[in-house]
Amino acid sequence: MEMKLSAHGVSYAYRPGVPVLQGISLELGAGKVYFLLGPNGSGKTTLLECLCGLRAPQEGRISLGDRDLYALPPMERARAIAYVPQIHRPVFGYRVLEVVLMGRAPHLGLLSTPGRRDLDIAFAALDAVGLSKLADHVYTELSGGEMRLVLIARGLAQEARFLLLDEPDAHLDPKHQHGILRLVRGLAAEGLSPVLTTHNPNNALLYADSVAILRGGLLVAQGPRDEVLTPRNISIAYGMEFELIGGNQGLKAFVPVQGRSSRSDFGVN
Amino acid sequence: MKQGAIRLGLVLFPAVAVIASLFVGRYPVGLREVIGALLPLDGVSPTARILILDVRLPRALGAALVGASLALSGAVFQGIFRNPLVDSRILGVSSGAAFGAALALLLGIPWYLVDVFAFGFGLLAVFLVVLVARRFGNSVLVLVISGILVGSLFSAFLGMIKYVADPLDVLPAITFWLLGSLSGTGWDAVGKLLVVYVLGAGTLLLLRWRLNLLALDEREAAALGVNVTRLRTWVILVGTLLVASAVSQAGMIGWIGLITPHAARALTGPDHSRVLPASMLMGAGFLVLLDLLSRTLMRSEIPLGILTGIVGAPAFLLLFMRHLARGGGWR
Repeated sequence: MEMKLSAHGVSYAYRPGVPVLQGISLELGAGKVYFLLGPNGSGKTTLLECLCGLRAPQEGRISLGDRDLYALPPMERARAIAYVPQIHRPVFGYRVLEVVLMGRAPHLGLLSTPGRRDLDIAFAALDAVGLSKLADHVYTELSGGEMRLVLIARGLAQEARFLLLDEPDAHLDPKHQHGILRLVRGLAAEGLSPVLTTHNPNNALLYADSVAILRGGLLVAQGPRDEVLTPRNISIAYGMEFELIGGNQGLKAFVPVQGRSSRSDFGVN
Repeated sequence: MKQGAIRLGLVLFPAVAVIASLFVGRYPVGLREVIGALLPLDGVSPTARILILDVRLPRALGAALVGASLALSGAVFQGIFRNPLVDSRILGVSSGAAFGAALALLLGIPWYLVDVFAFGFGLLAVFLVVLVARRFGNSVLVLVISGILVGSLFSAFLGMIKYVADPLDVLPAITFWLLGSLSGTGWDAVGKLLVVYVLGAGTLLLLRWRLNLLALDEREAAALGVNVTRLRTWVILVGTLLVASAVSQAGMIGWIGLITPHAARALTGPDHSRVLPASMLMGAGFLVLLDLLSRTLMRSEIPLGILTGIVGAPAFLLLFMRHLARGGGWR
Protein backbone atom coordinates (compact mmCIF):
# COMPACT_ATOMS: atom_id res chain seq x y z
CA MET A 1 0.00 0.00 0.00
CA GLU A 2 1.29 3.38 -0.85
CA MET A 3 1.62 5.65 2.13
CA LYS A 4 1.69 9.39 1.71
CA LEU A 5 3.16 12.07 3.90
CA SER A 6 1.13 15.21 3.55
CA ALA A 7 0.82 18.67 5.01
CA HIS A 8 -2.56 20.38 5.20
CA GLY A 9 -2.54 24.13 5.75
CA VAL A 10 0.52 24.04 7.97
CA SER A 11 1.60 27.25 9.71
CA TYR A 12 4.50 27.57 12.11
CA ALA A 13 5.92 30.46 14.12
CA TYR A 14 8.91 30.42 16.46
CA ARG A 15 7.60 33.63 18.00
CA PRO A 16 3.93 34.57 18.07
CA GLY A 17 3.07 36.92 15.25
CA VAL A 18 6.17 36.12 13.18
CA PRO A 19 5.12 33.16 11.04
CA VAL A 20 7.89 31.17 9.34
CA LEU A 21 5.43 28.98 7.46
CA GLN A 22 1.94 29.97 6.38
CA GLY A 23 -0.74 27.65 5.10
CA ILE A 24 1.54 25.12 3.44
CA SER A 25 -0.16 22.15 1.82
CA LEU A 26 1.71 19.48 -0.07
CA GLU A 27 1.77 15.76 -0.60
CA LEU A 28 4.84 13.52 -0.74
CA GLY A 29 4.41 10.23 -2.54
CA ALA A 30 6.42 7.08 -3.01
CA GLY A 31 9.40 6.61 -5.27
CA LYS A 32 9.82 10.25 -6.14
CA VAL A 33 12.52 12.78 -5.37
CA TYR A 34 10.89 15.84 -3.88
CA PHE A 35 12.80 19.12 -3.64
CA LEU A 36 11.92 21.95 -1.27
CA LEU A 37 13.54 24.90 -2.97
CA GLY A 38 13.92 28.40 -1.64
CA PRO A 39 16.31 31.14 -0.56
CA ASN A 40 17.82 31.41 2.92
CA GLY A 41 15.18 32.03 5.55
CA SER A 42 12.31 30.88 3.33
CA GLY A 43 11.20 28.32 5.92
CA LYS A 44 12.26 25.17 4.10
CA THR A 45 14.25 23.72 7.00
CA THR A 46 11.38 24.44 9.39
CA LEU A 47 9.00 22.72 6.98
CA LEU A 48 11.33 19.73 6.79
CA GLU A 49 11.42 19.50 10.57
CA CYS A 50 7.64 19.67 10.73
CA LEU A 51 7.42 16.85 8.19
CA CYS A 52 9.80 14.77 10.37
CA GLY A 53 7.52 15.24 13.34
CA LEU A 54 10.15 17.27 15.18
CA ARG A 55 8.01 20.40 15.34
CA ALA A 56 4.27 20.45 15.72
CA PRO A 57 2.73 23.16 13.54
CA GLN A 58 0.53 25.63 15.38
CA GLU A 59 -2.04 25.47 12.61
CA GLY A 60 -2.96 22.79 10.13
CA ARG A 61 -1.90 19.19 10.37
CA ILE A 62 0.54 16.70 8.94
CA SER A 63 -0.57 13.19 8.22
CA LEU A 64 1.19 9.95 7.47
CA GLY A 65 -1.20 7.78 5.51
CA ASP A 66 -4.53 8.49 7.16
CA ARG A 67 -3.06 9.10 10.61
CA ASP A 68 -1.99 12.31 12.28
CA LEU A 69 1.82 12.41 12.45
CA TYR A 70 1.88 13.78 16.00
CA ALA A 71 -0.50 11.15 17.30
CA LEU A 72 1.91 8.39 16.23
CA PRO A 73 4.23 6.89 18.86
CA PRO A 74 7.73 8.35 18.23
CA MET A 75 9.24 4.94 17.47
CA GLU A 76 6.59 4.14 14.88
CA ARG A 77 7.05 7.56 13.30
CA ALA A 78 10.82 7.01 13.15
CA ARG A 79 10.31 3.69 11.35
CA ALA A 80 8.49 5.58 8.58
CA ILE A 81 10.44 8.84 8.41
CA ALA A 82 14.20 9.27 8.64
CA TYR A 83 15.86 12.64 9.15
CA VAL A 84 19.31 13.40 7.72
CA PRO A 85 20.49 16.59 9.40
CA GLN A 86 22.77 19.17 7.92
CA ILE A 87 25.41 19.50 10.58
CA HIS A 88 26.36 16.73 12.91
CA ARG A 89 29.36 16.81 15.15
CA PRO A 90 29.05 14.57 18.15
CA VAL A 91 31.36 15.45 21.04
CA PHE A 92 32.67 11.92 21.20
CA GLY A 93 34.60 10.24 18.41
CA TYR A 94 32.22 7.44 17.46
CA ARG A 95 33.24 5.00 14.74
CA VAL A 96 31.41 5.26 11.44
CA LEU A 97 29.71 1.90 11.97
CA GLU A 98 28.51 2.97 15.43
CA VAL A 99 26.95 6.11 13.96
CA VAL A 100 25.15 4.09 11.28
CA LEU A 101 23.96 1.56 13.88
CA MET A 102 22.19 4.37 15.73
CA GLY A 103 19.73 4.34 12.84
CA ARG A 104 18.47 1.04 14.25
CA ALA A 105 17.15 2.77 17.38
CA PRO A 106 13.46 2.83 16.32
CA HIS A 107 13.61 -0.92 15.69
CA LEU A 108 15.08 -1.78 19.10
CA GLY A 109 13.44 -1.90 22.51
CA LEU A 110 14.37 0.56 25.23
CA LEU A 111 16.76 -1.87 26.89
CA SER A 112 18.14 -3.76 23.90
CA THR A 113 21.40 -3.40 22.07
CA PRO A 114 21.90 -3.94 18.32
CA GLY A 115 22.30 -7.56 17.28
CA ARG A 116 23.64 -9.50 14.33
CA ARG A 117 20.78 -8.50 12.04
CA ASP A 118 21.21 -4.81 12.90
CA LEU A 119 24.91 -5.05 12.13
CA ASP A 120 24.14 -6.63 8.75
CA ILE A 121 21.68 -3.85 7.95
CA ALA A 122 24.19 -1.19 9.00
CA PHE A 123 26.89 -2.73 6.81
CA ALA A 124 24.49 -2.93 3.87
CA ALA A 125 23.61 0.75 4.37
CA LEU A 126 27.29 1.71 4.42
CA ASP A 127 27.79 -0.34 1.30
CA ALA A 128 24.89 1.46 -0.40
CA VAL A 129 26.60 4.81 0.09
CA GLY A 130 29.98 3.35 -0.89
CA LEU A 131 31.70 3.78 2.45
CA SER A 132 32.19 0.16 3.58
CA LYS A 133 35.89 0.76 3.77
CA LEU A 134 35.46 3.51 6.36
CA ALA A 135 33.38 1.43 8.79
CA ASP A 136 36.11 1.49 11.43
CA HIS A 137 37.15 5.10 10.96
CA VAL A 138 36.41 7.81 13.48
CA TYR A 139 33.34 9.70 12.27
CA THR A 140 34.46 13.13 13.51
CA GLU A 141 37.66 12.88 11.48
CA LEU A 142 35.91 12.38 8.12
CA SER A 143 35.52 15.02 5.42
CA GLY A 144 32.26 16.94 5.08
CA GLY A 145 31.12 14.86 2.11
CA GLU A 146 31.88 11.57 3.85
CA MET A 147 30.08 12.69 7.01
CA ARG A 148 26.99 13.44 4.98
CA LEU A 149 27.16 10.02 3.35
CA VAL A 150 27.44 8.39 6.78
CA LEU A 151 24.31 10.24 7.92
CA ILE A 152 22.49 9.08 4.79
CA ALA A 153 23.61 5.54 5.59
CA ARG A 154 22.20 5.99 9.09
CA GLY A 155 18.93 7.09 7.50
CA LEU A 156 18.97 3.98 5.32
CA ALA A 157 19.64 1.75 8.33
CA GLN A 158 16.49 3.26 9.80
CA GLU A 159 14.61 1.46 6.97
CA ALA A 160 12.14 4.30 6.67
CA ARG A 161 10.15 4.98 3.52
CA PHE A 162 10.64 8.75 3.72
CA LEU A 163 14.17 10.10 3.86
CA LEU A 164 14.18 13.80 4.70
CA LEU A 165 17.49 15.49 3.97
CA ASP A 166 18.33 18.99 5.12
CA GLU A 167 20.46 20.71 2.44
CA PRO A 168 22.48 17.64 1.50
CA ASP A 169 24.30 19.69 -1.15
CA ALA A 170 25.39 22.56 1.10
CA HIS A 171 29.09 23.26 1.71
CA LEU A 172 30.22 20.56 -0.71
CA ASP A 173 32.24 20.86 -3.89
CA PRO A 174 30.37 20.06 -7.16
CA LYS A 175 31.69 16.52 -7.37
CA HIS A 176 30.48 15.61 -3.89
CA GLN A 177 27.18 17.46 -4.38
CA HIS A 178 26.40 15.49 -7.49
CA GLY A 179 27.64 12.26 -5.97
CA ILE A 180 25.18 12.62 -3.10
CA LEU A 181 22.28 13.75 -5.28
CA ARG A 182 22.83 10.84 -7.70
CA LEU A 183 22.84 8.48 -4.78
CA VAL A 184 19.55 9.97 -3.59
CA ARG A 185 18.02 9.49 -7.05
CA GLY A 186 19.11 5.89 -6.97
CA LEU A 187 17.33 5.44 -3.64
CA ALA A 188 14.12 6.79 -5.15
CA ALA A 189 14.46 4.21 -7.91
CA GLU A 190 14.45 1.57 -5.16
CA GLY A 191 11.14 2.85 -3.83
CA LEU A 192 12.19 5.32 -1.13
CA SER A 193 10.81 8.82 -1.04
CA PRO A 194 13.62 11.30 -0.54
CA VAL A 195 12.72 14.89 0.34
CA LEU A 196 15.51 17.44 0.05
CA THR A 197 15.88 21.09 0.87
CA THR A 198 18.26 23.16 -1.22
CA HIS A 199 18.82 26.69 -2.41
CA ASN A 200 20.26 25.56 -5.70
CA PRO A 201 17.65 25.56 -8.49
CA ASN A 202 20.01 23.80 -10.88
CA ASN A 203 20.32 20.80 -8.60
CA ALA A 204 16.53 20.62 -8.55
CA LEU A 205 16.50 20.79 -12.36
CA LEU A 206 18.86 17.84 -12.53
CA TYR A 207 17.52 15.57 -9.84
CA ALA A 208 13.93 16.42 -8.83
CA ASP A 209 10.72 14.68 -9.79
CA SER A 210 8.58 17.18 -7.94
CA VAL A 211 9.42 20.58 -6.55
CA ALA A 212 7.91 23.00 -4.06
CA ILE A 213 9.23 26.55 -4.10
CA LEU A 214 9.08 28.52 -0.85
CA ARG A 215 9.57 32.17 -0.23
CA GLY A 216 8.98 33.95 3.05
CA GLY A 217 7.09 30.99 4.45
CA LEU A 218 4.64 30.83 1.54
CA LEU A 219 4.44 28.33 -1.29
CA VAL A 220 5.28 30.05 -4.58
CA ALA A 221 4.53 26.95 -6.61
CA GLN A 222 4.52 23.18 -6.34
CA GLY A 223 4.12 20.24 -8.65
CA PRO A 224 6.05 18.30 -11.30
CA ARG A 225 9.54 19.65 -11.93
CA ASP A 226 9.04 20.99 -15.43
CA GLU A 227 5.88 22.84 -14.51
CA VAL A 228 7.32 24.44 -11.40
CA LEU A 229 10.86 25.26 -12.40
CA THR A 230 10.14 28.20 -14.66
CA PRO A 231 12.26 31.34 -14.88
CA ARG A 232 9.31 33.29 -13.52
CA ASN A 233 8.94 31.15 -10.37
CA ILE A 234 12.67 31.09 -9.72
CA SER A 235 12.90 34.85 -10.19
CA ILE A 236 10.07 35.39 -7.72
CA ALA A 237 11.61 33.01 -5.21
CA TYR A 238 15.05 34.57 -5.20
CA GLY A 239 14.06 38.20 -5.86
CA MET A 240 16.43 38.33 -8.78
CA GLU A 241 15.85 37.76 -12.45
CA PHE A 242 16.82 34.36 -13.91
CA GLU A 243 16.60 32.84 -17.33
CA LEU A 244 16.56 29.19 -18.32
CA ILE A 245 19.19 28.29 -20.88
CA GLY A 246 19.65 25.14 -22.96
CA GLY A 247 16.89 22.60 -23.16
CA ASN A 248 17.60 20.78 -26.42
CA GLN A 249 19.19 17.62 -25.02
CA GLY A 250 17.45 17.94 -21.69
CA LEU A 251 20.40 19.87 -20.29
CA LYS A 252 19.14 23.03 -18.76
CA ALA A 253 20.35 25.59 -16.27
CA PHE A 254 19.16 28.73 -14.56
CA VAL A 255 21.50 31.68 -14.91
CA PRO A 256 20.99 35.25 -13.73
CA VAL A 257 19.85 37.55 -16.51
CA GLN A 258 22.93 39.38 -17.83
CA GLY A 259 23.33 43.00 -16.88
CA ARG A 260 20.20 42.96 -14.77
CA SER A 261 21.64 41.74 -11.51
CA SER A 262 22.04 45.28 -10.30
CA ARG A 263 21.98 46.05 -6.61
CA SER A 264 18.32 47.10 -6.59
CA ASP A 265 17.18 43.67 -7.76
CA PHE A 266 18.37 42.08 -4.54
CA GLY A 267 16.10 44.30 -2.55
CA VAL A 268 12.90 43.24 -4.27
CA ASN A 269 10.39 42.12 -1.71
CA MET B 1 42.46 -10.35 20.97
CA LYS B 2 43.41 -6.85 22.04
CA GLN B 3 39.83 -6.20 23.18
CA GLY B 4 39.95 -9.41 25.18
CA ALA B 5 43.14 -8.36 26.95
CA ILE B 6 41.64 -4.97 27.77
CA ARG B 7 38.51 -6.61 29.15
CA LEU B 8 40.52 -8.99 31.31
CA GLY B 9 42.67 -6.14 32.60
CA LEU B 10 39.62 -4.07 33.45
CA VAL B 11 38.10 -6.87 35.51
CA LEU B 12 41.37 -7.77 37.23
CA PHE B 13 42.24 -4.18 38.18
CA PRO B 14 39.65 -3.65 40.96
CA ALA B 15 39.94 -7.29 42.07
CA VAL B 16 43.70 -7.02 42.51
CA ALA B 17 43.34 -3.66 44.24
CA VAL B 18 40.85 -5.08 46.76
CA ILE B 19 43.05 -8.11 47.45
CA ALA B 20 46.14 -5.92 47.83
CA SER B 21 44.38 -3.70 50.34
CA LEU B 22 43.78 -6.73 52.57
CA PHE B 23 47.54 -7.08 53.00
CA VAL B 24 48.65 -3.51 53.30
CA GLY B 25 48.32 -1.33 56.37
CA ARG B 26 49.84 -0.30 59.66
CA TYR B 27 49.35 -3.79 61.01
CA PRO B 28 51.06 -6.18 58.56
CA VAL B 29 49.42 -9.50 57.73
CA GLY B 30 50.77 -12.32 55.60
CA LEU B 31 49.37 -14.53 52.88
CA ARG B 32 48.65 -17.33 55.35
CA GLU B 33 46.55 -15.08 57.54
CA VAL B 34 44.58 -13.56 54.63
CA ILE B 35 43.77 -16.97 53.17
CA GLY B 36 43.05 -18.32 56.62
CA ALA B 37 40.67 -15.48 57.42
CA LEU B 38 38.86 -15.62 54.10
CA LEU B 39 38.30 -19.36 53.83
CA PRO B 40 38.06 -19.55 56.97
CA LEU B 41 40.73 -21.82 58.45
CA ASP B 42 42.05 -22.18 61.98
CA GLY B 43 45.34 -20.73 63.14
CA VAL B 44 44.63 -17.09 62.48
CA SER B 45 44.73 -14.72 65.43
CA PRO B 46 41.35 -13.12 66.26
CA THR B 47 42.91 -9.68 65.81
CA ALA B 48 44.09 -10.47 62.30
CA ARG B 49 40.75 -12.08 61.46
CA ILE B 50 38.78 -9.04 62.59
CA LEU B 51 41.20 -6.70 60.86
CA ILE B 52 40.94 -8.52 57.55
CA LEU B 53 37.27 -9.44 57.52
CA ASP B 54 35.62 -6.58 59.37
CA VAL B 55 37.93 -3.64 58.73
CA ARG B 56 39.96 -3.94 55.56
CA LEU B 57 37.60 -5.99 53.41
CA PRO B 58 34.45 -3.88 53.93
CA ARG B 59 36.48 -0.71 53.60
CA ALA B 60 37.99 -1.88 50.29
CA LEU B 61 34.59 -2.97 48.98
CA GLY B 62 33.07 0.33 50.11
CA ALA B 63 35.82 2.19 48.26
CA ALA B 64 35.18 0.07 45.17
CA LEU B 65 31.44 0.83 45.26
CA VAL B 66 31.95 4.55 45.87
CA GLY B 67 34.56 4.75 43.08
CA ALA B 68 32.36 2.81 40.68
CA SER B 69 29.33 5.01 41.51
CA LEU B 70 31.24 8.23 40.94
CA ALA B 71 32.87 7.05 37.71
CA LEU B 72 29.62 5.68 36.31
CA SER B 73 27.70 8.85 37.14
CA GLY B 74 30.50 10.91 35.55
CA ALA B 75 30.34 8.81 32.39
CA VAL B 76 26.58 9.18 31.99
CA PHE B 77 26.58 12.89 32.86
CA GLN B 78 29.26 13.53 30.24
CA GLY B 79 27.26 11.51 27.74
CA ILE B 80 23.82 13.00 28.23
CA PHE B 81 25.05 16.58 28.55
CA ARG B 82 27.34 16.01 25.53
CA ASN B 83 30.05 17.61 27.59
CA PRO B 84 33.42 15.98 28.26
CA LEU B 85 34.24 18.48 31.00
CA VAL B 86 31.57 17.70 33.58
CA ASP B 87 31.03 15.28 36.40
CA SER B 88 28.87 15.23 39.51
CA ARG B 89 31.08 17.76 41.25
CA ILE B 90 31.30 20.26 38.40
CA LEU B 91 27.54 19.96 37.89
CA GLY B 92 26.97 20.91 41.53
CA VAL B 93 25.35 17.55 42.30
CA SER B 94 28.00 16.65 44.87
CA SER B 95 27.67 20.00 46.66
CA GLY B 96 23.91 19.67 46.71
CA ALA B 97 24.13 16.12 48.02
CA ALA B 98 26.75 17.14 50.60
CA PHE B 99 24.55 19.98 51.80
CA GLY B 100 21.62 17.59 52.09
CA ALA B 101 23.66 15.07 54.04
CA ALA B 102 25.14 17.75 56.33
CA LEU B 103 21.68 19.14 56.98
CA ALA B 104 20.55 15.66 57.93
CA LEU B 105 23.52 15.30 60.30
CA LEU B 106 22.80 18.70 61.85
CA LEU B 107 19.15 17.84 62.40
CA GLY B 108 20.08 14.47 63.86
CA ILE B 109 18.12 12.57 61.20
CA PRO B 110 18.43 8.74 61.41
CA TRP B 111 21.31 7.38 59.30
CA TYR B 112 19.16 5.67 56.69
CA LEU B 113 17.49 8.97 55.84
CA VAL B 114 20.77 10.81 55.26
CA ASP B 115 20.87 9.36 51.74
CA VAL B 116 17.36 10.59 51.05
CA PHE B 117 18.36 14.14 52.00
CA ALA B 118 21.53 13.89 49.91
CA PHE B 119 19.53 12.60 46.94
CA GLY B 120 16.87 15.30 47.23
CA PHE B 121 19.31 18.19 47.37
CA GLY B 122 21.57 16.64 44.72
CA LEU B 123 18.58 16.54 42.39
CA LEU B 124 17.63 20.10 43.26
CA ALA B 125 21.18 21.20 42.40
CA VAL B 126 21.34 19.45 39.02
CA PHE B 127 17.93 20.72 37.96
CA LEU B 128 18.92 24.27 38.90
CA VAL B 129 22.06 23.85 36.77
CA VAL B 130 20.08 22.54 33.81
CA LEU B 131 17.61 25.42 34.12
CA VAL B 132 20.34 28.08 34.23
CA ALA B 133 22.30 26.47 31.38
CA ARG B 134 19.18 26.20 29.19
CA ARG B 135 18.53 29.88 29.73
CA PHE B 136 21.99 30.79 28.42
CA GLY B 137 22.31 28.56 25.41
CA ASN B 138 23.56 25.27 26.82
CA SER B 139 27.12 25.30 25.51
CA VAL B 140 29.94 23.26 27.07
CA LEU B 141 31.23 26.29 28.93
CA VAL B 142 27.83 27.62 30.04
CA LEU B 143 26.99 24.27 31.62
CA VAL B 144 30.32 24.23 33.46
CA ILE B 145 29.79 27.78 34.71
CA SER B 146 26.22 27.13 35.85
CA GLY B 147 27.47 24.04 37.66
CA ILE B 148 30.17 26.02 39.43
CA LEU B 149 27.58 28.68 40.30
CA VAL B 150 25.07 26.30 41.81
CA GLY B 151 27.88 24.33 43.45
CA SER B 152 29.16 27.48 45.17
CA LEU B 153 25.68 28.32 46.35
CA PHE B 154 25.31 24.96 48.03
CA SER B 155 28.86 25.18 49.40
CA ALA B 156 27.85 28.47 51.01
CA PHE B 157 24.78 26.83 52.55
CA LEU B 158 27.07 24.07 53.72
CA GLY B 159 29.36 26.69 55.30
CA MET B 160 26.31 28.05 57.10
CA ILE B 161 25.58 24.61 58.53
CA LYS B 162 29.18 24.22 59.67
CA TYR B 163 28.98 27.66 61.28
CA VAL B 164 25.94 26.78 63.35
CA ALA B 165 26.97 23.17 64.05
CA ASP B 166 28.17 22.21 67.50
CA PRO B 167 31.96 22.72 67.36
CA LEU B 168 32.58 19.82 69.72
CA ASP B 169 30.91 16.90 67.99
CA VAL B 170 28.83 17.67 64.89
CA LEU B 171 31.27 20.12 63.28
CA PRO B 172 34.36 17.85 63.33
CA ALA B 173 32.21 14.99 62.05
CA ILE B 174 30.91 17.07 59.14
CA THR B 175 34.32 18.54 58.34
CA PHE B 176 36.18 15.26 58.25
CA TRP B 177 33.43 13.47 56.36
CA LEU B 178 33.36 16.27 53.78
CA LEU B 179 37.05 15.99 53.06
CA GLY B 180 36.32 12.47 52.02
CA SER B 181 37.01 9.39 54.02
CA LEU B 182 36.17 5.74 54.01
CA SER B 183 37.51 5.04 57.46
CA GLY B 184 35.05 3.13 59.57
CA THR B 185 33.21 1.71 56.54
CA GLY B 186 31.62 -1.44 57.90
CA TRP B 187 29.44 -4.14 56.42
CA ASP B 188 26.23 -2.19 57.07
CA ALA B 189 27.57 0.68 54.95
CA VAL B 190 28.69 -1.75 52.23
CA GLY B 191 25.20 -3.22 52.22
CA LYS B 192 23.58 0.18 51.84
CA LEU B 193 25.99 1.20 49.05
CA LEU B 194 25.46 -2.12 47.32
CA VAL B 195 21.66 -1.87 47.26
CA VAL B 196 21.75 1.60 45.68
CA TYR B 197 24.52 0.55 43.33
CA VAL B 198 22.75 -2.53 42.03
CA LEU B 199 19.63 -0.46 41.38
CA GLY B 200 21.43 2.48 39.79
CA ALA B 201 24.17 0.74 37.85
CA GLY B 202 21.71 -1.97 36.79
CA THR B 203 19.38 0.62 35.26
CA LEU B 204 22.19 2.48 33.51
CA LEU B 205 23.77 -0.68 32.16
CA LEU B 206 20.44 -1.78 30.73
CA LEU B 207 20.15 1.58 28.98
CA ARG B 208 23.79 1.53 27.87
CA TRP B 209 23.30 1.48 24.11
CA ARG B 210 20.46 3.98 24.14
CA LEU B 211 22.66 6.47 26.00
CA ASN B 212 24.62 6.90 22.77
CA LEU B 213 21.53 8.45 21.23
CA LEU B 214 21.40 11.08 23.97
CA ALA B 215 24.96 12.03 23.03
CA LEU B 216 23.60 13.14 19.64
CA ASP B 217 21.93 16.42 18.87
CA GLU B 218 18.52 16.54 20.56
CA ARG B 219 16.54 16.81 17.33
CA GLU B 220 18.40 13.92 15.77
CA ALA B 221 17.71 11.71 18.76
CA ALA B 222 14.05 12.72 18.60
CA ALA B 223 13.98 11.89 14.87
CA LEU B 224 15.27 8.42 15.78
CA GLY B 225 12.19 7.94 17.95
CA VAL B 226 13.87 8.66 21.29
CA ASN B 227 11.83 10.43 23.95
CA VAL B 228 14.80 12.62 24.82
CA THR B 229 13.37 14.51 27.79
CA ARG B 230 12.07 11.41 29.50
CA LEU B 231 15.18 9.33 28.97
CA ARG B 232 17.47 12.17 30.04
CA THR B 233 15.42 12.84 33.16
CA TRP B 234 15.63 9.18 34.14
CA VAL B 235 19.36 9.10 33.65
CA ILE B 236 19.82 12.26 35.73
CA LEU B 237 17.70 10.75 38.50
CA VAL B 238 19.68 7.53 38.55
CA GLY B 239 23.07 9.25 38.21
CA THR B 240 22.19 11.57 41.09
CA LEU B 241 21.08 8.62 43.20
CA LEU B 242 24.50 7.02 42.76
CA VAL B 243 26.28 10.28 43.62
CA ALA B 244 24.11 10.87 46.70
CA SER B 245 24.87 7.41 47.98
CA ALA B 246 28.60 7.86 47.41
CA VAL B 247 28.68 11.35 48.95
CA SER B 248 26.73 10.46 52.06
CA GLN B 249 29.07 7.55 52.67
CA ALA B 250 32.43 9.06 51.75
CA GLY B 251 32.03 12.84 51.48
CA MET B 252 33.09 15.01 48.58
CA ILE B 253 35.48 13.02 46.44
CA GLY B 254 36.19 14.84 43.23
CA TRP B 255 37.98 13.97 39.99
CA ILE B 256 37.19 10.27 39.85
CA GLY B 257 33.94 10.98 38.01
CA LEU B 258 35.61 13.42 35.65
CA ILE B 259 38.74 11.53 34.67
CA THR B 260 37.81 7.87 34.76
CA PRO B 261 35.34 8.07 31.84
CA HIS B 262 38.04 9.70 29.70
CA ALA B 263 40.49 6.96 30.56
CA ALA B 264 37.78 4.40 29.79
CA ARG B 265 36.99 5.99 26.42
CA ALA B 266 40.67 5.98 25.52
CA LEU B 267 40.65 2.21 26.02
CA THR B 268 37.28 1.23 24.57
CA GLY B 269 36.09 4.03 22.27
CA PRO B 270 33.04 6.20 23.01
CA ASP B 271 30.26 3.59 22.72
CA HIS B 272 28.48 3.64 26.09
CA SER B 273 27.95 -0.11 25.87
CA ARG B 274 31.65 -0.41 26.63
CA VAL B 275 32.38 2.92 28.35
CA LEU B 276 29.97 2.30 31.23
CA PRO B 277 31.34 -1.07 32.36
CA ALA B 278 34.92 0.11 31.79
CA SER B 279 34.33 3.33 33.77
CA MET B 280 32.84 1.58 36.76
CA LEU B 281 35.59 -1.05 36.91
CA MET B 282 38.33 1.56 36.61
CA GLY B 283 36.64 3.91 39.07
CA ALA B 284 36.38 1.06 41.57
CA GLY B 285 40.05 0.13 41.14
CA PHE B 286 41.28 3.73 41.34
CA LEU B 287 39.45 4.55 44.54
CA VAL B 288 40.52 1.33 46.27
CA LEU B 289 44.13 2.15 45.41
CA LEU B 290 43.81 5.77 46.52
CA ASP B 291 42.16 4.70 49.75
CA LEU B 292 45.01 2.26 50.28
CA LEU B 293 47.47 5.14 49.86
CA SER B 294 45.41 7.45 52.07
CA ARG B 295 45.72 5.12 55.02
CA THR B 296 49.36 4.11 54.52
CA LEU B 297 51.29 7.14 53.21
CA MET B 298 51.34 8.99 56.51
CA ARG B 299 51.01 8.17 60.16
CA SER B 300 47.46 9.53 60.18
CA GLU B 301 45.00 9.16 57.32
CA ILE B 302 45.11 11.64 54.48
CA PRO B 303 41.56 12.64 53.50
CA LEU B 304 40.64 11.05 50.15
CA GLY B 305 39.42 14.30 48.65
CA ILE B 306 42.92 15.71 49.06
CA LEU B 307 44.59 12.70 47.45
CA THR B 308 42.23 12.56 44.49
CA GLY B 309 42.86 16.27 43.96
CA ILE B 310 46.63 15.84 43.95
CA VAL B 311 46.37 13.01 41.43
CA GLY B 312 43.33 14.28 39.56
CA ALA B 313 44.11 17.89 38.78
CA PRO B 314 47.30 17.17 36.80
CA ALA B 315 45.61 14.22 35.11
CA PHE B 316 42.76 16.48 34.07
CA LEU B 317 45.21 19.03 32.72
CA LEU B 318 46.70 16.32 30.48
CA LEU B 319 43.24 15.24 29.29
CA PHE B 320 42.24 18.80 28.60
CA MET B 321 45.38 19.47 26.58
CA ARG B 322 44.64 16.36 24.56
CA HIS B 323 41.04 17.51 24.08
CA LEU B 324 42.31 20.82 22.65
CA ALA B 325 45.06 19.19 20.58
CA ARG B 326 42.43 17.01 18.88
CA GLY B 327 40.46 20.08 17.91
CA GLY B 328 37.91 19.75 20.71
CA GLY B 329 36.42 23.10 21.52
CA TRP B 330 34.21 24.93 23.95
CA ARG B 331 31.03 24.61 21.93
